[in-house]
Amino acid sequence: MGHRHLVIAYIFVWTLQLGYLSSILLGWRRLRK
Amino acid sequence: MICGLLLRNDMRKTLFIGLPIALAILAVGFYQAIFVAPTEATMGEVQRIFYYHVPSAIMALLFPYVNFAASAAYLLIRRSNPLRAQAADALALAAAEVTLVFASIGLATGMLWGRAAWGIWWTWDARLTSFLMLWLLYVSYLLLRRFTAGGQTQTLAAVLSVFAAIDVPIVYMSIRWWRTQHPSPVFFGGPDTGIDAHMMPAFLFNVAGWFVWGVLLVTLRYQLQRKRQRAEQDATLRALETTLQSVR
Repeated sequence: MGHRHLVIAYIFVWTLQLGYLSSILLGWRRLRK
Repeated sequence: MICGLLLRNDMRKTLFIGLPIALAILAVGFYQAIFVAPTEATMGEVQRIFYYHVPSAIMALLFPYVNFAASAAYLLIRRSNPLRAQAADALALAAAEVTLVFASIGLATGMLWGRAAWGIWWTWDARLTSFLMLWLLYVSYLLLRRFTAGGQTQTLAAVLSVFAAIDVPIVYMSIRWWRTQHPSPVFFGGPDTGIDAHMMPAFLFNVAGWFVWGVLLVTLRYQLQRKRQRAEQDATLRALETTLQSVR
């Protein structure tokens, strides 16, 4: 059970952080157009 | 270096310098956390959530002060120096968003860990409740900025950030003031606290990595907001010029 929670936690952290970084970069790209 | 990048407002430079540094430290942190740090005796593998949960929670208690300082600066200079006040407001917004990202991670990883270690997703103890309040305050802050119209939005948001800053020391002290389901302080908790020396590199690399990552995100978001503010100012000026020309 512990392994599954660990994997979900690490995937969640990277998904949220990279998703937020992408949203900033998309905003930048939209502004440059 | 960070001040220089903030002033030059060059997002590409920030990204190309900051991202490799942050990713390199985080890669070492990940390797240390998963492959090097020893397995904890009672909880087993799930304890490795600690290496992401605690650094994220630390960042969620650190960036509110950037938000608070920028909001206080905005409130102080919004009449005397409105242009510089816009820069302070952009920094406040950037810090608030990054705080919300880290606080969401702190909550979610804490719940996953709690479910595996205690058998429950949530309990209304002082630490969890005060941390949820911090998260809700930043959700409110961003909703306020997004869905209110008129000239008072920035001022109202800056005042709300003061309440959020007050919650931060309560979150920090909650496990010292009250008996909670959440573990007692691991660091700065007096004698007989702390972690195994072999776990320290994994912890410290992740704290440093997520700090650099957080500064990178705040800087990029600030620079984007400044660009948006300038684009809005340009659009307003153009509209004014068109109106004046049509009047003549």
